[in-house]
Amino acid sequence: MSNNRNGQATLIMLVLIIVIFVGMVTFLLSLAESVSQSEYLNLYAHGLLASLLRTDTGSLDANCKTVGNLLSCSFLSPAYLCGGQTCGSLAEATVNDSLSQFADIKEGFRYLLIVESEGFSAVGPAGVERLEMGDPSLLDAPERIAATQHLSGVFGGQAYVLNARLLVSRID
Amino acid sequence: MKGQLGLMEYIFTAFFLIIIVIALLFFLTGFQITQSVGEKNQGSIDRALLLLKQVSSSPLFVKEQGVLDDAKLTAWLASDTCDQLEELFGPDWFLEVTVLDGTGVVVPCSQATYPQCNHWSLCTQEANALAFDLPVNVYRNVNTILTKDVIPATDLGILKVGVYVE
Amino acid sequence: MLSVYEAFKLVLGIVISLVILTVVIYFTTNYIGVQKDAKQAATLKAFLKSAGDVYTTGDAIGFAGLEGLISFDAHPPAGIVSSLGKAPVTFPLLLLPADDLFISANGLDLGWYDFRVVEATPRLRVLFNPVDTSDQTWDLVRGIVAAFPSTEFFDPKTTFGFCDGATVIENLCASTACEQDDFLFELINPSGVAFADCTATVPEGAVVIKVIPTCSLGSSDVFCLTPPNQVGLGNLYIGGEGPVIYKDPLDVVAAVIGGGKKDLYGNSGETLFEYKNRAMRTELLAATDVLKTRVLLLGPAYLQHATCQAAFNDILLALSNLSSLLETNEDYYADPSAAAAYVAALTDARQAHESLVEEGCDYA
Repeated sequence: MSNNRNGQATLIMLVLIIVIFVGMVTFLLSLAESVSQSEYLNLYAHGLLASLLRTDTGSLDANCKTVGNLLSCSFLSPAYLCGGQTCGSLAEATVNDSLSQFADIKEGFRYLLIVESEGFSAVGPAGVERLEMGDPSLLDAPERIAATQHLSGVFGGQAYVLNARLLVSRID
Repeated sequence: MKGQLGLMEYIFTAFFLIIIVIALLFFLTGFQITQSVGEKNQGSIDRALLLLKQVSSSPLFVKEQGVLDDAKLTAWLASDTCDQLEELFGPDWFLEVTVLDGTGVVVPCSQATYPQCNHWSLCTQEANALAFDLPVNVYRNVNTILTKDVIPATDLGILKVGVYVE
Repeated sequence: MLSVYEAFKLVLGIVISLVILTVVIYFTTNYIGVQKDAKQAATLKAFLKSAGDVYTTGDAIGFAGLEGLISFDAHPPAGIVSSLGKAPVTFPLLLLPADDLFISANGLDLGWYDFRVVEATPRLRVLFNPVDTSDQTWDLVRGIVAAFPSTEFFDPKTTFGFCDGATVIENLCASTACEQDDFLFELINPSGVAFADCTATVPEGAVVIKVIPTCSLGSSDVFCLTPPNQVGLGNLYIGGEGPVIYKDPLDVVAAVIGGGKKDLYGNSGETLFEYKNRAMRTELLAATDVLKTRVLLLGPAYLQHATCQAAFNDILLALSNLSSLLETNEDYYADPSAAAAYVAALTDARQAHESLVEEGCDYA
């Protein structure tokens, strides 16, 4: 009887060892795949932010020429007119349109673009002053990629430096 | 009888041990093969990513980092493109660039359609490929032609680079 | 006294243990070999990835861990050779294999085109011996210094100094050897004192670059250049062998990184020098084709602009000349008249591009 139990215990132990081994291998393999994916996602996020900010809007006004200019204008003086529309509304429409085009091309991702002051937080009556365009739930997303770029120039005779940040996350 | 039963159990356990060891060996060998295949796939991924970065930064294609020159892209359509690209960057790869102009209409570029076009395709073939996309800008050298001036523009686009796999 | 049953158990146990032990030992020794190869492959892959990133971004990095694993075969198709075979390299790479490497990007700005290379070098001590001290020689020395890696804030270092007769002068920058920027600062107004031909024993890990009207045989770590002529060409002797014709500072740096040792194809420095020129020819042929067609595509838009039309015609002519020269002369770098024509064509193309940009007809 005790011999039966010993034999059975040995067999169970062997099976357990195999299961643990297979589990470890699967875990390690899945880890390897996610490393190269994150390199590509980083490249994608930085490429998206850089190219979005460089894109021309069609306006010849220096304050509205590129999407980067529009965002700076929108942060500093949202009521400024860019060819009949305020730069605030034009920035929002342009950015949302571009991000939705990329959402169509690359399914399964969501984006949030944030523009805020560089080096300090500008606080207004409604709290920290910043622009947000896209999916606000990304602020609480546990896993996301962030790309940042500075926006600098002169607006209304004053030099400025702002921080543009693009958050990218997979849709669960 | 009891002795024979004990013997049988002993042989049975030993037999099982050997089966498990052989199964482990098969599994480890299979794992090595899977690892090799995985390495090959990873090699293709690494190559595709390097090509993506090379195309988006090489003066053969760009005005500056991340800004493709539409006239250079169209120029590549003219010559023995694939042979030259293979000599420079290696064999079995392709690239496609599309301008996101919001029209939803794809107009393939050639010397005849330039500059009223928005899609470039180099060395594409019907084959399995591993490809990556990257948001880029496309510099339109001749966006607007005025009497006294030619006005360029920087549009938003997407670059796709892939390597052909078996 | 052992019963038959117990003896059977004992024997069976021993046999099974031996079988399992044999299989495990055999598999483990096999596995060690496979894992060693896998580790080598991983290191090599990491090196190629790092070098590729440096090429595309221009950001330099250090890399350690090659530990005598590799060599660089510059003969086409160029690639990195290890025990696993030859891994192709799809960008110009000037590699001197060592345990610790500094990987950086450098290149030649031709005006209308940028030819980029990746330099992967260990600790380098470069000693100049400018026996000829004309302005052209000092310009050449400055150009060569700029074509070496700039290792500030990184290791391993590339440092510069002089050799004057039997004396090695290295600690020119706050009692330490100068790196690129500091040495270039020292060379802004070089003193009028002529250097004597270097006769000092070349220190361990150092190379001497002489600029002297007549080059004689030297050891494998001495690179002798005749002063450049009016078009910037001169002769380069690599470890006493040669000469080859240098046209730009990168020719000299490629030869120095290659070294003056014997290799399968003759002289390692000469092999890397030829590799650099072959890579440049391939790239420039593609670049001239693309840019000529580009000019033809853009030309019609500027029909109303006479100055732009003229500027486009000039660059088209310059690029066509360069293209046909490279097409017909595979060894353009080896023939003095072809090399001179090549330098002249590059100068014409640069000037035509500058005019194009000045007239506002194209971007810089």
